[in-house]
Amino acid sequence: MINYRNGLAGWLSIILLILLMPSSSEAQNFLDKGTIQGNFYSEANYYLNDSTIATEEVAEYIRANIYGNIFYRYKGFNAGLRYEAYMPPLLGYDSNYEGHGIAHLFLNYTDSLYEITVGNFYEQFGNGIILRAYEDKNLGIDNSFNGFKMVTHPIKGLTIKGIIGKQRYFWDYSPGITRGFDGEWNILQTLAPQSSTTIIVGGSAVSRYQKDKNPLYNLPENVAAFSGRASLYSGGFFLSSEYARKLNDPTATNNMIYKDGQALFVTGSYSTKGLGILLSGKYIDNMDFRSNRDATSNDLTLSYIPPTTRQHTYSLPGMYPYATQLTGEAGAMAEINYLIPRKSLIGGKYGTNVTLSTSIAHSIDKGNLTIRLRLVHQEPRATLLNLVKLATRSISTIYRLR
Amino acid sequence: MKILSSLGILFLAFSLSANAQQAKTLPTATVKTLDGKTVSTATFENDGKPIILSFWASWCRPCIKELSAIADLYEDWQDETGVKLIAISIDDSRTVNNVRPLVNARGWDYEFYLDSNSDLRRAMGVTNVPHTFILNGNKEVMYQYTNYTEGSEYELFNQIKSLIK
Repeated sequence: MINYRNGLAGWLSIILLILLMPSSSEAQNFLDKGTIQGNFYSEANYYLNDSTIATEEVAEYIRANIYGNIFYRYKGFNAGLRYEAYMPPLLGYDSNYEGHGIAHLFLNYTDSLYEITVGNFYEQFGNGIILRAYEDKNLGIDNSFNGFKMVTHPIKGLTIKGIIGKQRYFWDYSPGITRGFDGEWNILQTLAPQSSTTIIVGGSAVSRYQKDKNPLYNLPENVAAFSGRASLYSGGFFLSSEYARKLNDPTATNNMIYKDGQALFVTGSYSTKGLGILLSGKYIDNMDFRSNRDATSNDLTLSYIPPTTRQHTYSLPGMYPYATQLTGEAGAMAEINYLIPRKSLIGGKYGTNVTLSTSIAHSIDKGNLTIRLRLVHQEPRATLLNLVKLATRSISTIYRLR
Repeated sequence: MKILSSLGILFLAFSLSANAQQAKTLPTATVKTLDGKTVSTATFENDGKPIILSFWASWCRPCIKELSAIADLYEDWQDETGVKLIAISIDDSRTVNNVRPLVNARGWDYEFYLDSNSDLRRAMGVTNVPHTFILNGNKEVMYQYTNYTEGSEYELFNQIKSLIK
């Protein structure tokens, strides 16, 4: 990611100018052989004051988000960049986005065996419980990595991925370095390609390195997370599960506790022409994993814990959206889709679709400050030093709670 | 430095327009089938006949309306033009497991793929769904539109017919 603030953009532009210089005949041939494609997208709003509903006053009147993509492709070689400008960002977007520059830049080579990317990239391991870098313009999320990614398919059905990089933080990077490894094996695609059943197993490991500069705590500089998953597709049945575990990771969002985190997801579905049934359940405990332990809000997330609720299309039912509570929750969801057949009594001429959906989520039992205090008092080796440590931790916790 | 970098951007915009006469072809990206197999978009094929490439999501009402409207006409369209509809779901891990029960329950006869990592979506510049492309026999993008209003499927079919002549 290059921002004008750090002055690198000028150098980058020079390199690009040289690469694309039309006076060089070789460069011209190179361009002619490949294809250049691009697209532009901008959204600008003009804001009016409405004193009756006390709207936020917009001094600039006009705010705009602007994006431009350019891709170059030649055989297996891909290169691309995205220019972003927020002048200033639309209301509702994080004000840290203010600025303009090349926010995304990558070089990639892909063939049937390998895929290699340097620069910015997005990636997801499994359901994304321990690693998901993605972009959602509507939500103002872009936590792409800047670094190196390699994907190989050594045998049919087997995919191995490795990544290393720093996550995008608006126009800057995370202080932590993220390393990740993922393997996924579609067993029957390798052993019995004719089989109509699919069994997929996978596993991933992600580790974050961040220097410990905290004067109070002895923080783990390397934090690891692991996950394992399995899916089965057979006829109309589908069953999938993923379990993830994160080792001690005191962060700004979990009140600096050292407890391991864990998450379990189970989904099952049955479907046939005219009927679809989906059941899913989850259990999450202290599973907020970020590439910077001090990050809060939606910043620098590595873990993506999918909410198990119905996602609404229009804004009215989405006005009070449900958000996963990463510190701990347990929930379940069921959804039934049924097509009342054509030309039946209720089905009418074209058939009628019915969807029933229900979901529930509860907090899990969490230890709190008083319980922790009591535990230490009962501890026979409660030294003066321990009590001082505890007092500072309690004060900082209370301060944070306020 | 600032002026230079702005020049760089201007230049890129220019080189884009200089090559704009080249038709946009279907980019190569990796997607997944509804039963978890990884496939490349290079394998998308309809024997030289047009392809409708429709980006949708299980939570998107207009998308479901459009795919349902086309489903009522799809057999006739296929008889007349040999067109094939390939539906690319942009559902992420939150809703991706809904896709299979939903499409089976609706009884749609399209070819379905999942683009959970948004690789194809980004390569084709899709910001919002529904976003529909018509590809000719050489898999070049001939026509595209976003959103869906009732009746726009007839315009879609007119565009497909104009490719056959």
